[in-house]
Amino acid sequence: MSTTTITTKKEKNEDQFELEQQFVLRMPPGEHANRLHDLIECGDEKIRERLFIDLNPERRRGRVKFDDTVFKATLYDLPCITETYKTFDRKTLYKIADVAQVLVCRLPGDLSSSDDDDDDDETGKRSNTNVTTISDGGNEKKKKEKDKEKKFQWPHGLTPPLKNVRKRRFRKVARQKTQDRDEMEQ
Amino acid sequence: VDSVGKNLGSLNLQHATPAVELCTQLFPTHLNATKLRHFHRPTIKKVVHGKVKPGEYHPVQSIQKIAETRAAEREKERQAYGGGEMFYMRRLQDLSGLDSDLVLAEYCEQYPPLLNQIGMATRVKNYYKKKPGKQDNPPMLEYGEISYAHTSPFQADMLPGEILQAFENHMFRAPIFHHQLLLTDFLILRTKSNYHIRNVKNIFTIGQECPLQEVPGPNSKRANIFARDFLQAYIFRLFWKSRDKPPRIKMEDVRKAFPQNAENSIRKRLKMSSDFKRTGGVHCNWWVLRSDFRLPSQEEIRQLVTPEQCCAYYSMQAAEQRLKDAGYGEKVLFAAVDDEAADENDTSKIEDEVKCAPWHTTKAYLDSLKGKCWLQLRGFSDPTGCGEGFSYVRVSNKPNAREAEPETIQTKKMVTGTDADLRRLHLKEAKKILNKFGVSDSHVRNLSRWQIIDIVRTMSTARARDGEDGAAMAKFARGNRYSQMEYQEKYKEDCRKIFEVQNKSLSTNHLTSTDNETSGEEDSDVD
Repeated sequence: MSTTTITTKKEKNEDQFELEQQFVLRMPPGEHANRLHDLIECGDEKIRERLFIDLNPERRRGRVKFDDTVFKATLYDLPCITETYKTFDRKTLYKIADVAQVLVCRLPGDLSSSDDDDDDDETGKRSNTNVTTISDGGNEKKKKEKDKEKKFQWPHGLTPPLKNVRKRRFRKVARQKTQDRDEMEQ
Repeated sequence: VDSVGKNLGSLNLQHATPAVELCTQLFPTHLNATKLRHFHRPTIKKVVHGKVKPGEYHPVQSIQKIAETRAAEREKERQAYGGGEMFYMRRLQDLSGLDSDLVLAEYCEQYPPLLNQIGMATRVKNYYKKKPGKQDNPPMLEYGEISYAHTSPFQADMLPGEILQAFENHMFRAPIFHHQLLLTDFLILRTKSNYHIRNVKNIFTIGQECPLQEVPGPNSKRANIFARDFLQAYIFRLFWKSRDKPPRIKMEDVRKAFPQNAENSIRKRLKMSSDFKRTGGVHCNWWVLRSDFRLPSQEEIRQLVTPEQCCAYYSMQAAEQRLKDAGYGEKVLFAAVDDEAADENDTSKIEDEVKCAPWHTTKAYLDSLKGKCWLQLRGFSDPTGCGEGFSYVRVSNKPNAREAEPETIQTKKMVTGTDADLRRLHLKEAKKILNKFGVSDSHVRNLSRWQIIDIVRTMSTARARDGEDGAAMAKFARGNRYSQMEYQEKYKEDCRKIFEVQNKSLSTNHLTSTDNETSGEEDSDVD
């Protein structure tokens, strides 16, 4: 969570330290992931000459270059609140970050998930599951935005039991239909 | 269930110092609607001023060197102070993820009622239930410290020899389940100028929280008192930071931090400790600390507002925002809070969705620990929506008022009065009844009158409840008025079942679910 503007000069010096923002990088399973894992494990300082990230979080697109392979990547929102804790003794944990997004890399030539250019196509496919009785333009626009939002919602948690958690496990919210929605949103 | 709220042993929890001091980078003074919608789900922001701009490749660094340097520094410091235990979390930069062991924790609830802010600490406790008699050694786990559970700290009893890991802090206790992060997953740490990468091996799935603290309702007395003290503490700290003598601050600095507050309310807080100088040279337009006012010490300010209270308040605000977004107006939200004063068990007027708000669930849960009410257990507030969690909605603990099953309502009719008085039941008659139930004479012979009557009562009750057609005998059955114990047993049994289902589900290592599997309707948040 980012902070309120810090006001006094003194406070600026005292309170400001840029904490790292965190996200998960997911490589395609197999050779590349294993190689990267081993590289990090042995603490190779040369990683910086072999692994590169270019990320545009607003457009949710990125490129990841590892050795000679370029992966197209998409930034998704994780379903569950996930926290990073730091510990010195494995008994007391200090929270240091919320991890809310995952950058999913695709092998070159893998067109299975949403690609940079097929945005509309994807949206069309997914909205099939929704009820499509909306006729007026305002709602249509809202629905489109919503679909776009949904498109970047990753369905699975990071741990095995929370696979498909959005559909399978989260309680559904009962929306109030009588209230005027616009009135509520400031 | 009675012991869930108690702290078993001391917790000995110390947050990082910037958290204790409510440093504004960790504890924002104001959350707007967007921030509330992304509560604990912050999105990565595009870097405009800084090196890691989009459109070009940026090298990703190893943390190895930094981690080693910082570990060495810490060890040096420890030795310098005599080699004992040290507290290392004193500054904001100590919250960096570029050193030390990291673990991830993933909540199974979509909106857990209470969450740590960055900088706050939590303990890992390994609750162990000893086997009776013999000396046994609890299993050693990679994380946490052993805590012997004489009574269960959770909603259900533990079995002898059972061990359950938990996150525990002043806000909640929750069972946790150890997993390994996938080998394809890496943690990226990004600042404006750098990317770093780490392997993280361990991740916990966190089960449903057992709240230890109440979330205040919107506009409730507790919420308003907090908001007042939060503002006051901020003002006191501003005075402490002033380098001027006497200390002085500007109204504007407070207003920027608390844009939601009316100027009047801020002025009221300022007036407690300082005077506004309209004119008069150097102090013109400043609020100057009065010479007769003793500025509370840092320790006193810490007592005034705790990090935990902030978390509870944020949780309330985030939930209020969600409800508003789902179409619930203020009238509905506040009606709920007004009801607090009225009969606590009469919550029929509150919308179900509002009952799922954290100020209701935490209160219901804590009240149930005090024996003031029971919990619904299975129902709409179950955060899993599939029976793998508890519905923290209050129901009356008086069986008669509970939605009793149809069978028990039937028996109720036959209870007292009429000819069903067991005290007047002749021994001969009683024996006849037992014969009818299939109890042999030889068995009955050695029993006293009251033992026999007791069997009559027990068996009649059981039969009546099972719906068997012993209508004649049903008159000796005990009705609801007497069956508090049975209800309690059934309640405990339900708790145990739900708890077991949750634990089994969250400890599973197999990716059992398919991508398309759903619970209930496909997607109910489509209007």
